[in-house]
Amino acid sequence: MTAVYLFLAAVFLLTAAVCIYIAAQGDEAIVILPEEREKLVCELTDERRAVFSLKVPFANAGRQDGIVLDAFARPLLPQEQFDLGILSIRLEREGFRRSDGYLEAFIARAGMHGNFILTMEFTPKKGVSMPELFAGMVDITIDIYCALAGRTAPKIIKTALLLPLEEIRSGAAKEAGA
Amino acid sequence: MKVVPVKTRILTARDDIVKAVAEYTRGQVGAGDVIAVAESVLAITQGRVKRPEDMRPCFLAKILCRFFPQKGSISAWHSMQALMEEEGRLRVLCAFVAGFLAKLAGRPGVFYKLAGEQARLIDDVTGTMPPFDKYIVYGPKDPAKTAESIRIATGCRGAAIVDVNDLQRAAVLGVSAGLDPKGLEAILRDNPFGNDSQKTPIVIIKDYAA
Repeated sequence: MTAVYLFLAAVFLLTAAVCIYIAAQGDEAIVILPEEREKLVCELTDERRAVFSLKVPFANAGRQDGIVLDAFARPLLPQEQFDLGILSIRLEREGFRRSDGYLEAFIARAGMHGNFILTMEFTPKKGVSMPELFAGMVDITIDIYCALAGRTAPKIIKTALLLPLEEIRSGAAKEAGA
Repeated sequence: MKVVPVKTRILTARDDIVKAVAEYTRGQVGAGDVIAVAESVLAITQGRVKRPEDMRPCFLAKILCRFFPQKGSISAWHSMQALMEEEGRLRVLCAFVAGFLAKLAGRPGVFYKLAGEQARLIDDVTGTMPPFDKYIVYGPKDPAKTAESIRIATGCRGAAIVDVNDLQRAAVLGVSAGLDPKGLEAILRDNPFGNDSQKTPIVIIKDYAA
């Protein structure tokens, strides 16, 4: 009987030790930080297109390394709200920009800070001039999706980023004035 | 003796590695040459890749991965699960217990000796060139048999499947008949495949016999 109790006590102690060890390690916590983003910059504008970009920070605020398997952005700009042009969008990692829109999976070390670069390209619809496009501009919400893995279950996080129309117009005006 | 890296397109599970090697080395390989092929590319052509999202890590995988250094290839839920699926949960658990006790006694590396060769060969996500950076790449199956098939298909002196990295580590996983793995490892230690073995997954060792 004593042996059974000793065995159970050993199992209990081992389980408790493993639980404490894992809890002390913590987990990864990769977050996108839209509130820390930089202002929108207009990279070019002509009669056929207007290209903007901005940096969106991300961080691993956890105590374990995490893996960013993929990340992409999706503008919520339905034609019911804005029918003057088409917005195409690309998300890249700063320092690892590519010409193909592909985002290479990477390890986000614990405590790491980095930036995504969001590039937006407006193309006016037929018969719409660029000033008309910006005149009819609306606030744009962009969802940034991030597929993650690590020492927790793979998951997809989604973070909303709001671009006020004033900021878009202001960026375009600066480029036009430059 | 000269080592010549051979650039290929990205090979996938739709490719036959023997045909691909024959295609890309045509006109470059002589009877005295040896062909070495990167093991991860053989594994990819064998379809031995899996996305983390498609795995269902068991409780044991979730626990054991916590005891491995984060820089290692089996330190995440999905990569530990991949190892368990290949080598068996019981084997991995026993290797873990033995490795743990051996480490306490000052003998590191016992886990990797006991857990099966996949413990050394699995590449976690980010470990391979796009588009396979989003996949776990297992070690290949039947490397010696494949090496022999490559030798026959290309008419060269011999062929080998190798695991080479930038840390001056080369491991021959399988060779065709008559080749000395240790000699090949010494030649390939400087990683002639380059930083990413998928860009040049084949190297030709010219005049190996000489």
